[in-house]
Amino acid sequence: MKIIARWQSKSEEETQKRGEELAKKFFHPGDLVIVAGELGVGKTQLVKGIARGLGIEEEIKSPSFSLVNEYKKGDFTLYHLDFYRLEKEEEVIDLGWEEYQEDEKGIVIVEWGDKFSSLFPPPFFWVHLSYGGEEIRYIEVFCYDSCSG
Amino acid sequence: MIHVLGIDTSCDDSCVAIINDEHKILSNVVSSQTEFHRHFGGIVPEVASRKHLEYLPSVLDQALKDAHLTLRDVDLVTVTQGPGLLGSLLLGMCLAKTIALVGDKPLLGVNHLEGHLFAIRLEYPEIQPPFVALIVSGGHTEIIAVEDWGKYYLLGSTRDDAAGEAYDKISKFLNLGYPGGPIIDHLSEGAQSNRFHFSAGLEDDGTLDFSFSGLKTAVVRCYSRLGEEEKKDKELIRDLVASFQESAVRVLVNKTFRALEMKGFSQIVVGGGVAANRHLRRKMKEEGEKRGVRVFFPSLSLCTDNGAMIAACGLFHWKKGERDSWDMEPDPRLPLVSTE
Ligand SMILES: Nc1ncnc2c1ncn2[C@@H]1O[C@H](COP(=O)(O)OP(=O)(O)O)[C@@H](O)[C@H]1O
Ligand SMILES: [Mg+2]
Repeated sequence: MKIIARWQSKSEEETQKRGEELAKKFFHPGDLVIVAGELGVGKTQLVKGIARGLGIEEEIKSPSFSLVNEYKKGDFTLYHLDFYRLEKEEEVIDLGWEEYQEDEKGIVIVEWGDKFSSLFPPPFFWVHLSYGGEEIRYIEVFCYDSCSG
Repeated sequence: MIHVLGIDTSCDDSCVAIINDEHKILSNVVSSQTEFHRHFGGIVPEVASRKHLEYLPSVLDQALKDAHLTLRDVDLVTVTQGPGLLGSLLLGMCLAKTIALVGDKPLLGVNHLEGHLFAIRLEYPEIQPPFVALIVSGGHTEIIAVEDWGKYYLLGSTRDDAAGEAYDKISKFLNLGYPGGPIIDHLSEGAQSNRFHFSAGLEDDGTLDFSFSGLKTAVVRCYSRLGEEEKKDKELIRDLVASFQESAVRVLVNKTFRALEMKGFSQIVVGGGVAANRHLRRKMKEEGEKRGVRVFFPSLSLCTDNGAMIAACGLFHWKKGERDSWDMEPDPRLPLVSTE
């Protein structure tokens, strides 16, 4: 495991910009990205930025309820998952999430992915968000095993 | 007399209902209903598509029993095609196709959101568009102009979290339980909703869109700043959730009425699980009375996901001559489109 970025963000916009930067610099088709952090810290905001960086034009909405949202651009698919409502490993498997991972051309991003981290074999990226002050957030990005950079 | 079977598995609940062509509900069974639980022997709520596989046969059985009918009496099979979770939609679709194929009955796929619009028709058959509809649930926050049955314009929607999602998340965060909607609604009754002031997001931005993520974060931050004693103060927590609910409902009411003004319509229809919220119902009615506008709410069992609304919507399209073929597939992101 190595840390590849550590930032402080002062606004929603800045967090989105960092997401965009991550997407452009580090993420490639076939990658898995886990986004961890407390409720309301800005995970979905970050994913909005990542999606923009990946060329997705649609508005990214929270997948907490729908469990997975797919956004397509050509033959590229962004799978935006959210394990917030899930309690058991079987529920994750039932989601068919292994299929999403098998899509070599797609990128899978999982909010609350840390809840079932034992299900993920590396390599993957791990983004951790935490609260600072009012609108201050800390963003740390780790890479587990042979992540490209 | 025509009997319409309606199947909905777009989310966590397995729903089957039967209505007739006069919009009379003959049965309406939902897997999370307590009556159904009793027959089935208790269910631990679980978020998984394969649960539909387990429940659907008994939900269907119960729906037929309640209606005093057999599958042979069904004349039209309607099923939610989307939006929703693919694995779940597939199971409802599979059941619908099987029934239709075996019994040689017409099959129709229905848009879940359009289904919510039709729920009102089951109780107020006299209601005629145009009207502005607000569909609010765990997965939806949409303002739709219904120019006519079958003719829709999406005026606004949430940019991040749905309204019901904010309720659920805050309730879980404060350890108040699930589902958050009724719990917060109940706790807020008689509490001081002006103790805390939360901005509901995009309140005065001129659009008809919503953003509930900021409200969610504001409540989380507010709670985190409380002292240990305050966090245990039940009255304070009630005031906190009441203040949250005040903001959420305020923005829902304001934007719906703004949509009404923009369109120049004079009726509002509210649907979706959050339409069961008492504070929302009260505030909508109040504002409606003030402005001489009729506000319609379906009764509680028709607000939440159900098969009857799918059947009502399917019946409408069937009467217009629409049919779907055997190769119809579920679409998790099915958009709401006009058909005329
Ligand atoms: N620096 C920041 N970065 C990200 N979001 C922020 C920041 N400051 C304030 N916010 C607000 O916090 C909220 C984060 O919500 P969201 O992304 O839905 O959180 P999560 O998905 O982690 O539950 C948004 O309303 C956003 O405007
Ligand atoms: Mg989120």
